[in-house]
Amino acid sequence: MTPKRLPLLALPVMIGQEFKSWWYLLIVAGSSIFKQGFNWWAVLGIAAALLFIIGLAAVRYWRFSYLIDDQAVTINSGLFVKKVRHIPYPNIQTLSHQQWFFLQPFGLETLNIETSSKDGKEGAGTLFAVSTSVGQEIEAHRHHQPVLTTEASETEPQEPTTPTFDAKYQISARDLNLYAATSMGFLAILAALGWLWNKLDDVIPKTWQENAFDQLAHLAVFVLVFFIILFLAVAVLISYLNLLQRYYHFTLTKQAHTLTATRGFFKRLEVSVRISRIQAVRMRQSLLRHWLHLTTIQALLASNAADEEKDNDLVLLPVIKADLALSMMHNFIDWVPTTTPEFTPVSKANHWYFVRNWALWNLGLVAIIALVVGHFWRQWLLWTLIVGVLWVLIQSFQGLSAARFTGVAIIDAHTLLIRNGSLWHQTQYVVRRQNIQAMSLKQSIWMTRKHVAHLVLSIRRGDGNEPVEARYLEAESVEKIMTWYRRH
Amino acid sequence: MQTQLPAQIKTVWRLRALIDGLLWVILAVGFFVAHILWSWPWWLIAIALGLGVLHVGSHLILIPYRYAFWRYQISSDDVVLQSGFIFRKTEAIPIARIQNVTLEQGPLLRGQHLQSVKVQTAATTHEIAGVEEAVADALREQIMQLAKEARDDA
Repeated sequence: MTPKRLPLLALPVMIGQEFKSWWYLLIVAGSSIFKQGFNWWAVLGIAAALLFIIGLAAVRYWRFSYLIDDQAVTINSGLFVKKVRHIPYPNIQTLSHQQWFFLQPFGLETLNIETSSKDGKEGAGTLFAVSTSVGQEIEAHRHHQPVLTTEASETEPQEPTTPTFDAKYQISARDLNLYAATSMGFLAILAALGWLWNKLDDVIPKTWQENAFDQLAHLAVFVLVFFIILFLAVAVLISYLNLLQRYYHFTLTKQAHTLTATRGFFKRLEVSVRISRIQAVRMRQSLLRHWLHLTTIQALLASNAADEEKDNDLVLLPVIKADLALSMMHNFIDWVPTTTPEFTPVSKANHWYFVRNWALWNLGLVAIIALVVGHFWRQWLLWTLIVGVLWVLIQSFQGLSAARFTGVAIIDAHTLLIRNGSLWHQTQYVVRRQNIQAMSLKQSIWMTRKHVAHLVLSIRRGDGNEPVEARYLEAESVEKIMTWYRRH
Repeated sequence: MQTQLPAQIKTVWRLRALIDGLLWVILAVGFFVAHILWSWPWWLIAIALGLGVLHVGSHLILIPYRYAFWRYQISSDDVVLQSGFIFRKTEAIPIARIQNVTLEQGPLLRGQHLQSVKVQTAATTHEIAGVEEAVADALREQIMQLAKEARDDA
């Protein structure tokens, strides 16, 4: 069989991809416009940068070919160094399909193939804008071949894939709205706007700035407040709309031993993963969502399934009532328990440690900031102290809420549930014994006397380790869990 | 049966601390030269030397403590590492999770005929700082053999 080329429509997608990693070249090339106004050198620079980006994509496109046979997907690439990547079907950890709206009429989609190889990019392959039949072909090969997995101890009968789903969840308009509205994503956008402002500050001529500040100084205070509120509103709106389009028509289905999540308005994204490859199920809530009794459920995977969203976690359910989370997930992943019968919380007497630690750390932080402020900007010291004291109080309260949430439960011989609280977040993990890579017990000499200990689990996440810690549990329960883990 | 590290490891740790100290001395000499040539402030030298003494001193003082409370244990089920007294830590790594065992030997370890043993799982790496060469080979064989059996059982 001769290797196949990508369709011509892959070229614009690849250019877009290169643009994503090289866009700053354009800014560097054109930066003199900000300083000197319009000039032909800047135009020339921008043109050269554009040409470079397009050229890079064109060369990639030209040298790229792929082959799908009975054993593996083979990808050939590289101009000077020829690279041939073989990805055998049983090694595929996740397969994700991305379909931009402009590819849909042509029946094309981009395929991302991920393995659990530790080399990150080396173990992965992307087929840009190939026919949807390619994806179906790979899926068929994946499902018909016996799976060479060492971790699953129970035998998994291979049923033929049927078009009916074993379980299905589709997000309702109300839930999607709730998810987007309770997101803290606007903070990131605020930060990005702030960063942009900072950069503009460097390139915009000083005279312009002074003019602008002069104008601002003449405005009444309420106009300034109006601007600040406008700024915030824009950030919230951007984040809200972005989440709406990203999780539009979110659907999770279970078919035999595979979970598939589909979502997106402008770009349809479909990710499928074998249930036996899921390292842990994580239910995470921000404090805002905690107060509203909502949680987000994610699967931790040993690959970068959601690579372009910059996290390694596959979203299984964007938002759900916290008390329904376990029973809902149980429909999809049978080792997730419906209830937590033997939950061991942090005992009331030990709540104090959390509050103390959170307060002390933040007190230290505030003290350092206050010292710096007091030395250089004396007039702001009072305000810094007031805000600082408030901050420490808020953090102590967070410590208390983390203490109330933290705990562990042994579900059965194979499954553990663990909860902890971190800055602004509370997280619950369900993990199988076979996916806990290592476990440690930590204890200071003072804790030994009080019979208190920390428990730390190591779970594979992406290419690395996700340490999960439950602090200040009773030493006896931590030892019980160590025994549960270590028994053969 | 918990095993303590061989006593020679203390020599290795001491030498390592001294090498760290040497780096600080080199830095101080650099500052001294800069002081002569470009009249950099003299207190930079003092800071480099001060930090060096602190760094090396704290390491040297802690060596007997580190040595006294470091234990490892390898059974047919798992590798258990234990360290510290004031801050005690017990780590359990089941044999079935072990993917790799790496033996490493730098010049300092070679001088004492020791090897370090690194145990890798899918997520973490754990190190036994130094054991006698023959023991290291035996450990590697033992761990890999047990890991193979554990995997065949599963």
